[in-house]
Amino acid sequence: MGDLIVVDNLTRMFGSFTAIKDVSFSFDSGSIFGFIGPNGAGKTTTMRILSTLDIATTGDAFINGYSVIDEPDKVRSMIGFMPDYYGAPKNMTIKDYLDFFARAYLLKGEKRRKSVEYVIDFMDMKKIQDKHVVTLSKGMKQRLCLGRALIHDPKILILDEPAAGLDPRARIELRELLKILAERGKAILISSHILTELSELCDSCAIIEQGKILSHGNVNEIQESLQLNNKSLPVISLSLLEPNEDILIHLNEIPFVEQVEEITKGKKFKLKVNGNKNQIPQILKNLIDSGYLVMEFKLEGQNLEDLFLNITKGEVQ
Amino acid sequence: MKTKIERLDSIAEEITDYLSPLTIKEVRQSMKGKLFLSSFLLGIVACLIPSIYFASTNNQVQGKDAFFIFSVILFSGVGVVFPFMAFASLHEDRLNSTYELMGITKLNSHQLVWGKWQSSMVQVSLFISSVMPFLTYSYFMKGISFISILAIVIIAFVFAQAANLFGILAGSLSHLKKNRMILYLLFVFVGVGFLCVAGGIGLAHEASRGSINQFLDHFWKLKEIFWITLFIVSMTIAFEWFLFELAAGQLAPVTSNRSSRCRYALTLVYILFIAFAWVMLDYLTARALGRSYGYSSSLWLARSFSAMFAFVFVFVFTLSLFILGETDELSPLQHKKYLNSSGFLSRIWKTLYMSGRSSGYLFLLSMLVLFQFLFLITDLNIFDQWAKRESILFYFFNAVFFISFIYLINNLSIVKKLTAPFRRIATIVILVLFVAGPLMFFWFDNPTGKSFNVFNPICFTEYGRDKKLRHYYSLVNAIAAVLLCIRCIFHIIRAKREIQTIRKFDAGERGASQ
Repeated sequence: MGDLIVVDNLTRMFGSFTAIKDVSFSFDSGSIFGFIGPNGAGKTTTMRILSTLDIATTGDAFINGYSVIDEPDKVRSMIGFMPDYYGAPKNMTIKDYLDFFARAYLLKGEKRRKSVEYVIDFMDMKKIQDKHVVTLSKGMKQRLCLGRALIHDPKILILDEPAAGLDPRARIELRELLKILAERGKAILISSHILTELSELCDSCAIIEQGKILSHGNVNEIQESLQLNNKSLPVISLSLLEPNEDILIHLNEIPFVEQVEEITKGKKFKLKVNGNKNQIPQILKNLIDSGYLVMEFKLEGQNLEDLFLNITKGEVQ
Repeated sequence: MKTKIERLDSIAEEITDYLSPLTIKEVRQSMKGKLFLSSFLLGIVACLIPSIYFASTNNQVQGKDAFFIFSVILFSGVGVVFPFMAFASLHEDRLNSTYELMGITKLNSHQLVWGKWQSSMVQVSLFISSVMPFLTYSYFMKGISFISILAIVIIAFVFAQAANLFGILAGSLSHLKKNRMILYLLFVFVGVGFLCVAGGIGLAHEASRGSINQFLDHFWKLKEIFWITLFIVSMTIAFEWFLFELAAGQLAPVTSNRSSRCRYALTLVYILFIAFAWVMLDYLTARALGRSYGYSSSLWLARSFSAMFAFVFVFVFTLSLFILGETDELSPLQHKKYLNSSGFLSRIWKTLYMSGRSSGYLFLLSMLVLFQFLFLITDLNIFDQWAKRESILFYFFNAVFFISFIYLINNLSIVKKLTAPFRRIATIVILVLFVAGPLMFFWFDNPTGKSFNVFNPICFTEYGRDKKLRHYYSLVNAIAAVLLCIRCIFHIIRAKREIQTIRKFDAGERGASQ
C-alpha cells in the first residue's frame, strides 16, 4: 500500500514566475512531515495546492489515492488545514465558531455536539468556551484554529507555520498536541521556521528553496548523508569535573585529535577529530586511563538548523 | 429529567440542523453585534419621533404623510443598511480568511451565497416587522389604504431581496481592503442602493396619493393579468437567480467552472422572454380574430416589450462585464473535462458554457443571434410602433455593439494594463466615454427630434438610421468579429494539438504496457 500523501512533480506558475517546480515527496499516516524553507520558498503554495485552495500548473498530488485536481471534494473531507494567517471573526464565541465549522462539514445532531465537545476537551478550552474569539491570545487562537481543523476528524493535517508568534509555553503545548495526534494515526504536514522544534517533532522532512526540493526523507538519513558529504571533521565537546592545566598538552598528544579549542580554561574543550567514528571512544578511554575526571564527552551532531543552513543558500525568489 | 424549556431548546437545536450553517452563523453574529442592534433601534427611533409628532397634532390628512415618512425609513433600511451589512460581512469573511476555510468544508459556493442571503433576509424581515406597527399606525390615522401599505411592504421585501444579492455580489468582488469603500460608494450612490431608495420613495409617494389603488384597479381588470403576473414573477426570480449565480461564480473554488451556471441563468432569461412573447402573441392573435394588426391597439404591451428588451439587455450587459474577469486559461480539471468530451455537438455545448472570455463572448453573440432568429419567426415586428420600421434584427444591433465594444476593450493590452485593478469599473467609464459620448453627439445632431433613451430599441432604430452612427457601430462590430475569429481559430488549433499529444501519450503508454 502506498503513502497517504504523495506529491508528484507539482509545479505552480504565476504568469512567468515559477513559485514551485517539480516538488515531489510522500509520507504516511502516523508520521509528522516537516516542510522547511526560507520565506518565499514555496511552502505555502505547496500546502495550498494540497488543501485544494490553489491549482497546480502541472503535476498532481494524491491524498489517500484521490487526486487534488480531479477529486477535490473527496480530498477536502480528508484534510484539516490551518493557514499561516487567519483573522478572528467578530461576535463569535469559541463554541459557536467550532459549532459553525462542524455544521459546515455537515455533522448533524448528537454527532455534531460530541465533535465540538471532544475538540474543546482535547484543546483544553472547556473553561473559556464562551469567550469571544477576538479576545483570545495568539496562542489560544492557534489552538482554536487547530481544533477547527480537527472538527471533522480528518486523516491528514496540513499546518502552515502553526508555531509562528507563540511564546515558549504555547509552543511546547502545541508540540505535545501534535505528538498525540500523530500517535492517534494522523498524518501531519507542518511548516515552520522554528527548526529546533521541528527536529524534535518530525519523522521526516523536506527542505525547499526557490521552489525546488533540495533534500527530503528521514531526518536522521538526511543528517547522515550530509555528514558523509561534509568534508569538515567531527567535533567532540569535553568537560572535566575540575580544571586541569596539564590536559591541554595531553589532548594535543592524542593521535586522532586534530585541533583543540579551549572554551573554559583547563575545564571545557572542543576537539576536532581526524578519523572515523570508531576512533572516538578510544579518546575517551585514553582520558580516563590517564586519570582525568571526565564529566561530559559528547559528539556534536548536526541539528536541523545546521542541516538547513548547510543545504540552503539563503536565496529568495 | 429535562425541563420544558430544555426540551424546547433541544427541539429548536434539531431544527437548526436543516438550516444553512452560514445562516445560523450570520444570524448569531449579527444578533450579538452592534451594527444590527443599532440600525434596528435607529429605525424604531426614527419612526417613533414622527409618530409622537403626528399623535400630538391629530389630523386626518396626516395618515398619508406619516405613511410616506415611515416608507422612506423602510426603504433606506432595506436599500442601503442591510445590503451594506451583507456586503461587509462577506467582505470581512474574505479578508480574515474565514471564507477560505469555509471553502474547503463541505459547503459549496452556492450554499455560501444562499446562507448569506438567507441571514440578511432574516434581518430584513425583523426590520420590516419593527416598522410594520408604525405603518399600521398610519393606516389608523386614515388617509391611506390598507392595500397601499401592503403593496409597499411587499415591494420593500422584493427590493430587499435584490439589494441584498447585490450587496453579496459586491462583497464577492472585493478581494482587497482598499476596494471596499470604492465598491460600496458605487453601490450606494450609483447603483442599487440609490435606485432602491429612490424607487421606493417614488412608489411610496405615489401610494400616498392613492395611485397604487388606481393602478391595481386597472390592473385587475386586464384580461392578460395572468400572463403579465407570471412574466413579472418569473423574470424577477430569474434576475435574482442570475445575481446569485454571479456571486457564487466569484466565490467558487479555482478548480471549478465559474461561468456555466451564470450562462445557464441567462439562457433561462432568454427562454422566458421568448416563451412569454409567443404566449402573448398567440393570446392576442386570438383576441384580434386573426387580424395581426388588431392587437397593436394595446399600447401598453408595445411599451412593455420595449422595457423587456431593456431588461434582457441589462442581463447581457452585466454578464459581459463579469466575463471581463475570466481567464481563458482553464483549471487542469476543466481542461481535462473539455478535452475528454467527445462528439461535435458536445464540444460546441462545452465551448459555449466553458469559463473564459472568448467562450463567453461566443456564448453571448450566439445567444443574441438565436434570440433574433426566434423573434423573427414570431414576427414580432408587427406592432404598429415597430411595423413601419426595419426588421427586428436591427433592434439587436445595439446589444451586439455594446458586447463587441467590451470585448474590444478587453483585448487591448494597454487598456488591460492601465485598468488591471478596476477593470470592470474602468470598462464602464470607457463605455461612457466612447459609447455614450458619440451617442450624445448624435443626440444633439438628432434628425428625428425624439427624446433619447438608451434602453429603447425604437430610439436606437432612429439613430441607427444615421449613417455616421451606423458606420461607427459597424466598425466596432467588424473589429470585434475579426478578433473573436482569430481567438477561436487559435483555440481550435491549440486544442487539436493537445488532443494529438494526449493520443500519442496514450498510445505510447498502451504500447509500453503491452
